[in-house]
Amino acid sequence: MVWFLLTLAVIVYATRLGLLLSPPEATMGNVARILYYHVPHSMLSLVFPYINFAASLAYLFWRRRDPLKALTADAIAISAAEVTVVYGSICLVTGMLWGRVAWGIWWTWDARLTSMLLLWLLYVSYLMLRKLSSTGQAHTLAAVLSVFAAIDVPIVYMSIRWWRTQHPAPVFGGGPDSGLDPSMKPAFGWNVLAWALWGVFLLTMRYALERRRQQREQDAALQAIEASLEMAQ
Amino acid sequence: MNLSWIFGSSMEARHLLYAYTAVWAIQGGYAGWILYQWLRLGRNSRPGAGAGTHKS
Repeated sequence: MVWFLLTLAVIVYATRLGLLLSPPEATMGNVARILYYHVPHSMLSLVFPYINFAASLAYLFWRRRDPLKALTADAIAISAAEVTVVYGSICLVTGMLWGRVAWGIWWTWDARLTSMLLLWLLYVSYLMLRKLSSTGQAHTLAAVLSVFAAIDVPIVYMSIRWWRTQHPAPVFGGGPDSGLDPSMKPAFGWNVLAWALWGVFLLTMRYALERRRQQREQDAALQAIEASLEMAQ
Repeated sequence: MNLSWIFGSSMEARHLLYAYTAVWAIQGGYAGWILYQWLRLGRNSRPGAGAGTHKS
């Protein structure tokens, strides 16, 4: 609860900085304030896939050696995948809203936008596979899929460095002329912190939910075994 | 502090408002879904069930 309230306070403070206190951007004006939500969500949508990737590898390693540890890894993996889809959705939606104003179009099939859409689709596929597969091997198949999905993350990151794109060149680490104006840095930094804290909060809550669901499944399985033993006696 | 520009009718103002609203809606919706599932799973739990209750 303390974490939730602290996170909410930081989000409100960061939003206030981004929306009200930071100056309008020199060329785009007020609409560039979308940056304070769009860029942190985009950055974090490239971080959570690696949590899913590491947890999926752990699941594949432990699924026969130590099933209890594998269940823990699986709970972390699905939590990270869902948070990736949430952050990726926001990245795409806010990007399109910004692009319509800045470029005059909602969407273009350039390398950055296309690779980001592919990443989002891969994690939606991961969740659909887990939800809809009836093979009994869904968790293993999903873990393998997540290993392949993680390959797209560096492609998304490097796309604006490797190819000429409609999407702007990198703001950070993009060369001597790149970087934010100093007056925009506090709002940007606070928003990155705020949405990172919120992401960790969501991840923790979703993990706890998944563990509770796993416990319920184990309870149901035990009850079924007890019932079958009583019938046999 | 003048906030009227946020609720202006220009495309810039509308899209800025939509973007911020979309973020809160998606994040709040997902957090609400987790809370709903948590409460639903809690309600469906049966006392006495669980590991260690097997009568061997």
